Amino acid sequence: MILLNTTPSKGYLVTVAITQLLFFFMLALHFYLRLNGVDSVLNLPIASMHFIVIAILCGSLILGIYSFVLIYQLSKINSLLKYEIKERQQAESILRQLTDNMLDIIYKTSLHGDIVYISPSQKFLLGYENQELIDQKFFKLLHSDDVESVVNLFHESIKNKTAYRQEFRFKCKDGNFKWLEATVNHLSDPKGSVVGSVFCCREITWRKQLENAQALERQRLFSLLDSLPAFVLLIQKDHSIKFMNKYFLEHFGPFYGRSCFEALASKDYPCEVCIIAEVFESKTPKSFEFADYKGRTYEILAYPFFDVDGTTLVLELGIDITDRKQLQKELIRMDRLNLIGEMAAGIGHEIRNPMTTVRGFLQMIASKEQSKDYREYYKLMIEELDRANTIITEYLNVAKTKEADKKVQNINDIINSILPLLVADAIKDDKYINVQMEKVPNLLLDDKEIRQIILNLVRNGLDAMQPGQYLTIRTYLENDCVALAVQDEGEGINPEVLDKIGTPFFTTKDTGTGLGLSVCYGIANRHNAELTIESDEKGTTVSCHFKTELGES
Amino acid sequence: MSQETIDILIVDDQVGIRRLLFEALADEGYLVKMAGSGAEALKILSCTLPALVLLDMKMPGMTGYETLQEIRKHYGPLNVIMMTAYGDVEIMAQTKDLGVRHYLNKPFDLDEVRVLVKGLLAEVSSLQLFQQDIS
Repeated sequence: MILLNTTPSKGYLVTVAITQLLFFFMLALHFYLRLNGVDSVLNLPIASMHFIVIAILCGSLILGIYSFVLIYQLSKINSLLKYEIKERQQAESILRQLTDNMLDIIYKTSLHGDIVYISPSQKFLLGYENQELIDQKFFKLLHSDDVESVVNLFHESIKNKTAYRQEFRFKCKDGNFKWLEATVNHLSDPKGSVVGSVFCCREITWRKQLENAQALERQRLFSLLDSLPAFVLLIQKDHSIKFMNKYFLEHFGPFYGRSCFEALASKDYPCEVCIIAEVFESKTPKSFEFADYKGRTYEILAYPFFDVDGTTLVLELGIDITDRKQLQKELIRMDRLNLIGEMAAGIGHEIRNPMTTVRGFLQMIASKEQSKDYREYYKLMIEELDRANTIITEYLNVAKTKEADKKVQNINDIINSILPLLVADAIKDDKYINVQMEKVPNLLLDDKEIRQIILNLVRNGLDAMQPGQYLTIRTYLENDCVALAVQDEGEGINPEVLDKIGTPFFTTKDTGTGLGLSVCYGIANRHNAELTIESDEKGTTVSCHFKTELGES
Repeated sequence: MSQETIDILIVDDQVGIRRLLFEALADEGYLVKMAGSGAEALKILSCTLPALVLLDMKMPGMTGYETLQEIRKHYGPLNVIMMTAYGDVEIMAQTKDLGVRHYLNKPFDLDEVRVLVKGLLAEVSSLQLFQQDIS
């Protein structure tokens, strides 16, 4: 470092110059004194003078030689210095190029957070001129939500003399904020005392956007899973549940880690119909139908699923098909009824015509004088023909395709009009009829058909009861519907039988046609009403719900 | 109306029904003629006009409804009883619009037919008497 100082070298040069001058002066004086023959100078004998001059000459010579040595050394040092300076200048320029061209930003701040240096790259990222930021408070340029955490870290790094990483939003010149990721570290002077802080920042706005987009996508996926109208499960080989969506959670409860059969079937062993073991083995999708412990039917699709950690799971998608199955059943029933209706209409005409002829001639012959002994037989034959005709009528009623003859009227009036007939029917077998009619709005009804449905339901109820029991006919309002309910005190319907009820020709009675309830279903359908049967050992209730809008339209 | 030679025309494609109604009504003393189709009925009607027509709804070729339309076109308010094996509400409503007031559902009761025919013909004859009085 001392070699860098040029002052001593100047001193050496002056010394060398003076020594040279003195040397030449003394040499000149020596020859002058010799040539002019001077004997005494300054009262000294000339010999002494020569001695002095020679001594001085010698001294000067030694000094001169020394000076030359020094000068040689100095010039050597000088060239070394020049080389070093050049190297430093080069290094500095590389450093400047680096700081100027890198995209990261370096802030140097004082202990108070004032910006004392900022790398030029900030202009490219943030848009400020460098001098605009110098002496500004670093923290004032942060997003208000981030100030506290950054200030804390700043102080921590100064206090602990360690580096920290932090993400924060920095205000650009145009007022927008950009996400920066920074390493905050303390800055010391050569003596080791902390003088400030340095922030090495890198822009991560795009990364943050990506992270946000990912979070959003993840959220979307979850809400998609949660809004599915089906349950989604991830099941492990031991039947334990690893994931469930909201649908499952709401319908079965939080069974995380517990088994699927416990949740779905309320059992402590796997269900018979379960095929997830097969899916694990074959790694191919399979599906099956499953009834949960609440009695709802699900179509379950089971797919092999490879978890992020590579383990194989089964993804189960369960769709509630209870209503669909019910509807399908209903459709099959309607199809059957329609087929019967068409058949009945087709053959009805062909059978009724000959029946008319036969019946007519029987009636004619019966009235003749000659056949008075056989009148009873004729009467019986005519009755049998009429019975046959009733069956045809029932068939035709099963599925009338034509619109019923509907009028706005009250169902209670229709019940009242048919009640004496029903009561007479019941009394005959020592059974009783209760009527509980609430005030209900008018409906668009075909009175003939409604009479038919009441008659069929009441007769079914009466047939199911023992003498002395009561049958109840009720009308009431329920969920915007007018309900007609016929409740008997019979033994109830066997569950196997209950499934087949309403199927045309299905009957448990010795003399039944198996069409009574089919007719009721047909009538209910034409009135846009719903027929439901509830049965237990205390009796059976058949209810027909008519939508009230019908009456208002 | 004075040159009429028959009281009732029976129109049905079923021979058994024609025969039955013929026997039953002829026994009552009416003059009855029969037609096996709508076309035949119209041919008879062009010669002689009955007081009452018993017309079957479903016939091959010209249906009862089409025959009725022709009758209304050419012979005006002739008394017609429609006969049907279906009790079909829609067709009944259509014929109602063409002025039909009475129906017979097959298989019908002969007594019912007799009563209905007797009533209608009595109505017709009283009307005729009334018209004669006026003229």
